[in-house]
Amino acid sequence: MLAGKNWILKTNFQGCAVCGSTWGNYWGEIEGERMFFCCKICHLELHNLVLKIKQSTGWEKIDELNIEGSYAGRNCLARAGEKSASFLVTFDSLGEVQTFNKLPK
Amino acid sequence: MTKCSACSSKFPRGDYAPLATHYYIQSEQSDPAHVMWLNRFVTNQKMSQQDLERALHRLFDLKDKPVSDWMRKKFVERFFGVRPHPFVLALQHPSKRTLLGYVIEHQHFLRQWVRSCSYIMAKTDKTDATLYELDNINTEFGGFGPDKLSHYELLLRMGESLGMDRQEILSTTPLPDTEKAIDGWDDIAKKSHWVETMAAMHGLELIADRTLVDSGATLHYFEPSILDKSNNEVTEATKNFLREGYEADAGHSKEALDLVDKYSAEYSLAEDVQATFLSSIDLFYSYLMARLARGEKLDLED
Ligand SMILES: [Zn+2]
Ligand SMILES: [Zn+2]
Repeated sequence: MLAGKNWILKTNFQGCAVCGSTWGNYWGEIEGERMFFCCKICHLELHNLVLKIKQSTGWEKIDELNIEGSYAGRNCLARAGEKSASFLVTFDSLGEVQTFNKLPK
Repeated sequence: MTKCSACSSKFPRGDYAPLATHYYIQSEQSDPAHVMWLNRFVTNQKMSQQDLERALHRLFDLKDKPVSDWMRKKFVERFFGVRPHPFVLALQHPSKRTLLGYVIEHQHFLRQWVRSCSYIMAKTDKTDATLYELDNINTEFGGFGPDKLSHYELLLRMGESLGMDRQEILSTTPLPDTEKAIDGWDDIAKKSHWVETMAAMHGLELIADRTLVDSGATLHYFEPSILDKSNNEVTEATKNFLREGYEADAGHSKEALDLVDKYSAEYSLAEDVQATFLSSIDLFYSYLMARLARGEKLDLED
């Protein structure tokens, strides 16, 4: 688990930070932290997602990000300090954000 | 031979140890295509090579039934299972967005369809397969005169009935995942045996096959009542397009899959057919997501 370490960006998975898979062995940086991914596509997805959330919320950094779902659609809950926001996101198979919808609180 | 669904490498038939080793090595190298394939078709939890070999055995086990039975089952799991595909959910009672997304992306799909089926004809010397493809290409693309328009023409008319100009539809380029899927199907048609291509393409017609409920599907491609005369949820042109597929595809896919059964047995190709079919439905999954994404991107008033 990531808890216990001073992660800037916490995610809620033991495996790949995006899809939870424990296959693969890819380490990539997000917000200055090295994280485990199953492959470079998932790394790119998280990179693009963080950018998109920052763009949409205006936050400078994200403290915590919970991702749930599958490639049919992922529910993402982001927190920054006291603020939080949820999004329903899909990625295309190249790792780009394909749909990005803010969910009502 | 059997082959890897992710990269088409060839392996001995019936022995899944080398295939398991191959996936294992590719996973250790974090190769996206192989890792995603494991995630989607086996499990996203890493297992030992021996367990993976057993899992592959289970996945590809035909249980002494024709390969088309297995294809139907995999298709149902993927698109009509516990979590039906989001496009199928959206199409139950479709919005204008969903339908226009369908129109714009599907025109590109249908153009590839003709190319793929033409490859089958170019490669086969079996009369029944040639006749089947000829008829299919006309149904999908050529049409049979003004009384029986092609699916392609019906698709464009559906788009027009929803307020989009034909030129605008035709000049819209595909989204990346549609393009990637099209390239994937083109590659299958170019490089694979024609029986595999038949399975890869006509297996997709299962999407509108009403008899899938007999194989465990819990819903249809769309809620059938939207076609009713008295129902005004969708335009007449939309009904015409959806009805065509609904009435044709059940018969179509059955006839094609019978040919796949017959010739995959004759050429001992069942395992290759299975591997290629899984690649194809994976492309189709992303392609259907692109239809939805296209709908969302349209500048429409809701
Ligand atoms: Zn992943
Ligand atoms: Zn491979």
